[in-house]
Amino acid sequence: MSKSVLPKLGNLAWAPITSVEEVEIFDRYNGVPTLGVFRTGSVAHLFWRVLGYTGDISLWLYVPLSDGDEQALDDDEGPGLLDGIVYHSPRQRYVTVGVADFNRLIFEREWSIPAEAKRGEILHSLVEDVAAALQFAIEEGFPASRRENYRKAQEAVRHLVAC
Amino acid sequence: MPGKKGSLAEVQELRDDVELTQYGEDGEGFRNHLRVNIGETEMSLIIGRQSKMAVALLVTKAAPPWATARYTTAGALRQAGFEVAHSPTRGNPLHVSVFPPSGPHGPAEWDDGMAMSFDKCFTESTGGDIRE
Repeated sequence: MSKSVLPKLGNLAWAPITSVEEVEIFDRYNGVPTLGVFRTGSVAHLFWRVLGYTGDISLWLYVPLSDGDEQALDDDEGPGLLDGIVYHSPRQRYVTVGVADFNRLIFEREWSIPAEAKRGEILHSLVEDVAAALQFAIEEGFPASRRENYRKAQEAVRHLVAC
Repeated sequence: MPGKKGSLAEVQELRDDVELTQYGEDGEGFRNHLRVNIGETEMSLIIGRQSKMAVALLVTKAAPPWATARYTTAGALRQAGFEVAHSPTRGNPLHVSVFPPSGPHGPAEWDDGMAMSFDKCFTESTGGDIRE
C-alpha cells in the first residue's frame, strides 16, 4: 500500500506535490478541479475537495490508491466514485488532509478514514479534527502571517461545524 | 444518460425552458462572479430543479447540512447574455457551464454589473444569503 502524500504548502490543492506527473480530472466546479487522481511515478492518489465550494477556504483529502482502487474508479462514475475508497472503505486508510485558501494549500495533517464509515460520519469527524488541529497550530510559535491564515481557516471550519 | 462504465454522459442540448440549479453554502451564499485569479473559468450549475441535498451530492459528493440551492432556466441566462452548455463530467453527468457573454475581444469581464445580472436570473433559494 502506498504511503499518504506530504503536500507542499503553497501548491495548488489539486496538485499538492511538485513531482506530479499526471492529473486526471473527474469533476470540476467553476472550472477548478475538485475530484480526480494525480500520479507521481508509479504512485496514484485520489484528490477530493471535501468542502468549501463557495468561500475562500476549502478542505481537501488525498487518498493513496491501490491497483484495485484504480480499477474500481475506472468502473464507476457520479457520486459513487468515492464508494469503497472514502465511503464504506473495507479497511481503515491513512490519508492526508489539506486546507487551502484561494485554492493554495496553507495547512496539512495526517488523518485516517475509518473502515465502513458513512458519508455523514466522515464529514463530521473530519471537520472537528481539522478545527482542533488548526487550534493547536495557532497556539504554536508559527510566524504571525501563518497564524493569521490558520485563524481564517479555523473560522471557516468552525462556521461549518455550527451548521 | 450515462453510457458504459467510467464514461462521460452524452451532451444534451439545453432548451430555454430547462431548469437549472446552483449549489450554495449557508453563510457564504451563492457565487455570482468568476475569480479568474484562482483559475475559475466558468460558473457551474446543475440540470434540473434539484433539492439542496441532491445538488450538494452532485457537486461535492457529500451531503453537508450547510448546503443551499437556487434556481433559474437556461433561457433566463441566455436572455441576460450568458452562454449556457451541458458539460458532463465523470463525477457529475448533469454539470452545466455558464460563460460570460462574448464581446469583440473575447469573453466580457465578469464585473459587478455582470454579477448583478447573473443574480437576477435566479428566482428563489432554499436558504442561504446572496454573496456579493
